[in-house]
Amino acid sequence: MRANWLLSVAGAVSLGACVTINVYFPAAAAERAADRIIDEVWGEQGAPKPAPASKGGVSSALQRGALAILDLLIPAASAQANIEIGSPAINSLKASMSARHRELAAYYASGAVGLTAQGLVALRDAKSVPLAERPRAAQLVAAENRDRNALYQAIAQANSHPEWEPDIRATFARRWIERAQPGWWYQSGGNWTQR
Amino acid sequence: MIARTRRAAAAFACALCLAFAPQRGAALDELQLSLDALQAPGWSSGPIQAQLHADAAGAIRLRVQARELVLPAPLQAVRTAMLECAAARAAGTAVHCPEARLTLELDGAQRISIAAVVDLDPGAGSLRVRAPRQSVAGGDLTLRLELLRGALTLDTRIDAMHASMLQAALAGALPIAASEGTISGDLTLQLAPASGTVHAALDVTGLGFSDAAGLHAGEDVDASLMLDARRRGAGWQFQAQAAMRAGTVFATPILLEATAQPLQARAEGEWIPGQRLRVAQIELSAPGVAAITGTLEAVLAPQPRLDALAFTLPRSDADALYRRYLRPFAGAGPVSDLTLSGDLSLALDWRAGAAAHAQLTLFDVDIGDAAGGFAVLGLDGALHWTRQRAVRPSRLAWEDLQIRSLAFGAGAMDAELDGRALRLLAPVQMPLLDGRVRLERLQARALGLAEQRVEADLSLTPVSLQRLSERLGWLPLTGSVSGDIPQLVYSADRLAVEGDIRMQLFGGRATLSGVQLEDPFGVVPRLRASARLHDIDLAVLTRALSFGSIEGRLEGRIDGLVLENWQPVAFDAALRTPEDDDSRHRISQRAVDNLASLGGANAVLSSTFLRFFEEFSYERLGLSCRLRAGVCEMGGVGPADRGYYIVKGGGLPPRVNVIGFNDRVDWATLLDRLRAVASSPGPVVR
Repeated sequence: MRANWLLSVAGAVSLGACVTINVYFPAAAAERAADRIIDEVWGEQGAPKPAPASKGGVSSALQRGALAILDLLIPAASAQANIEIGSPAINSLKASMSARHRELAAYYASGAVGLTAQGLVALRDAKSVPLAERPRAAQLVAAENRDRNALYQAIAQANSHPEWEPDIRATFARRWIERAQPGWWYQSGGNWTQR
Repeated sequence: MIARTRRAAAAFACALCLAFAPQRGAALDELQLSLDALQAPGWSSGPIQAQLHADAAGAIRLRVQARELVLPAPLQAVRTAMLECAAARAAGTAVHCPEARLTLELDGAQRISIAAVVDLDPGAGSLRVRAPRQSVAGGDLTLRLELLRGALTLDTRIDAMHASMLQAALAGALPIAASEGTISGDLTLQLAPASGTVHAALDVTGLGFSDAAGLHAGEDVDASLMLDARRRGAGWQFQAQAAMRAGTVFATPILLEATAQPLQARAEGEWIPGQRLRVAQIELSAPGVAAITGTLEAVLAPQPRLDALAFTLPRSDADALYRRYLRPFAGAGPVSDLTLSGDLSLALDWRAGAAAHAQLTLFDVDIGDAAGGFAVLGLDGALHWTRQRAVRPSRLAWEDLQIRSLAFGAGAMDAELDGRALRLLAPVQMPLLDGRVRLERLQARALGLAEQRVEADLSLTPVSLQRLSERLGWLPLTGSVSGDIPQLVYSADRLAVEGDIRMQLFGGRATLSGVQLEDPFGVVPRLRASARLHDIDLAVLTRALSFGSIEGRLEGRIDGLVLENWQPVAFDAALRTPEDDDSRHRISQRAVDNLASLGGANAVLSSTFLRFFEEFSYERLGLSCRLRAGVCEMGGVGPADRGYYIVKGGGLPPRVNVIGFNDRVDWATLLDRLRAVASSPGPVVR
């Protein structure tokens, strides 16, 4: 009961700041897990971004502050939870995506392929791909999206929380973009922008 | 509608009459006329302005401008037309401009200026424009146009004009931009209210074009097009031919390259605009495949849709057909990475919502899927598919069928394909290792829809588990599996065994239940099952696994087994000595050490001098593991003072207890220990 009271105090603080926090999804652990997987898939080509927290805005600063309060009030075990990413399915998907990245890297750099807001990739500028390579580029994008969709689902399954899939997808969507190389394209607010 | 033209023309003519009538009084040296709109069959115009200026010498300057033009193809891109006459001469109602300039503005802000001789006679309802050969848009143009009482004749020839002019003609029909290349050709049109003929011949060289997204584009295209059409009633009868001699075209998702063999298409038929398109004869030839012939019917209103299609693809190379024309449509799905060899032919006769028939004939075709570990070799036969027609049996025979590392040998299948249903007509028998698999029944319905369902019944004559496990790279099993495999059902992306699979295993029995494979053709197939083990002879088991020697019986259960990519990610397993087992219970020193090492380094022999004995007695033994998230929660046959008993001593001395203390063991570590045990050289004396 005491814990509930503490939780609701924390809830009141964060709600007062117009921020909703899903207490049950370990967002920080998910970001760390996503970063590890992204590093493996993109190899040394992924730009090492030092700060794990996302940039921008009063709301995210408040979110971070609220998370810190909850860290104090909620027993340590749940706050330091780690996301399981060692399942055979995840390993096999990482290997497949990492092998494909060797071909995709050139298309990221040329702007032909960009990162979407749903954690997927899209052939945003087919014109910058030599004509004879376009069917292959389209096929690579389709295969990469198939793997990415399976990855988000596999991570949720490995943690016995299938309902986490949308949150995992959203976490990855942010982190792929955060860790993209300068010059790569990504979707933001419905438009394509360049990093 | 003609009356409206006539009235407008008449009004215009009157104005001109006034202008050119012999002067009777005040001189008229400037006249302006404007019309808001003009309508004629097949074309219309927005505001028309005309200006007339007569100078003192009697020479007349004329300027007529029509805006917001809506003209029939191929002039549909012309928006504004302006005719300027520097020195017009009049004779009655006719005007003759020997030095006229016709300026056309096209969609996309392009502008053409043509010098011509213009004769205009509104009273007779006639207009004649003759443009002698001159340079326009980087090429040469010759043009002759006659409009007589609503009948139009156009004769034009262009030479080496820049390809951007082609875009102007196509504007509105196709949203593409032509960036390079030249066009040459001629066009002859005769249009009258009730009749018409068109003859067009076009040749492009080095054409480059693309739409905004780059999904429909071409490079270095050399092509020619010929069209002949004649008006018949409400429609047009046409004959068209197109050939691409060189270059590359990408029309998503297919890439067309004219290599040694040009792409050619011919079509003949009838087009009723806004209603129907009927192509009575199509011929297509493309690199890698034999020439396709066929017919097509489409309904154009309210939405364009295909109404009937019939074609024949004669015997062609299956791999070329797949790689160029089929695989691009497969995306990244299950049939997107096949290797094919051999030939096939295909014929289709299809009518929307009515009878249809297709035949696919295979000539020594091999199909392989490296990712799925599947191959069929030497497929021969014909598949017949019918809908709303008498069913025709299909027959396929093959020389070899391989799934993973299992080879099923030769076989043949007789089946019926009807609409969305498939039915096996006779059992199919195939050899498997030292036994035989029989597909007793195979039935499918609603194929291609979300509710599709495939059912199969299999039976096996005894197949050696030793050979099977060897072939599949499993832990060595001894025993056999045989009998009726209960019904296999594939639906909603899941392959399930309805019922239990029974097998003889290690001198006892095993029953597998609830076996299902989720997402079998997907990226991560997931196998679920439960198992019960009865009366396993531990002597046989430990000999097979090189685990040392344990005598006795074992029973067990494995619940909730989940394999991802064929590796365990979860299960709830418990193996133990059966309650009423009265067989000999002996365990060798090596087996004791191995069990101890499985339980973790903390397992302890209850009496150190017992290490000098080769064999011990036990009352009962057992091990359990509940695997979740990479961690095995371990247990044994019962609690000890601290920890749990893996082996509980009993019976004649010497006895031994093996006690485990680690109740949470990392699964990967446990597997490493199992592998170490299986490959260890001999007992370790401690």
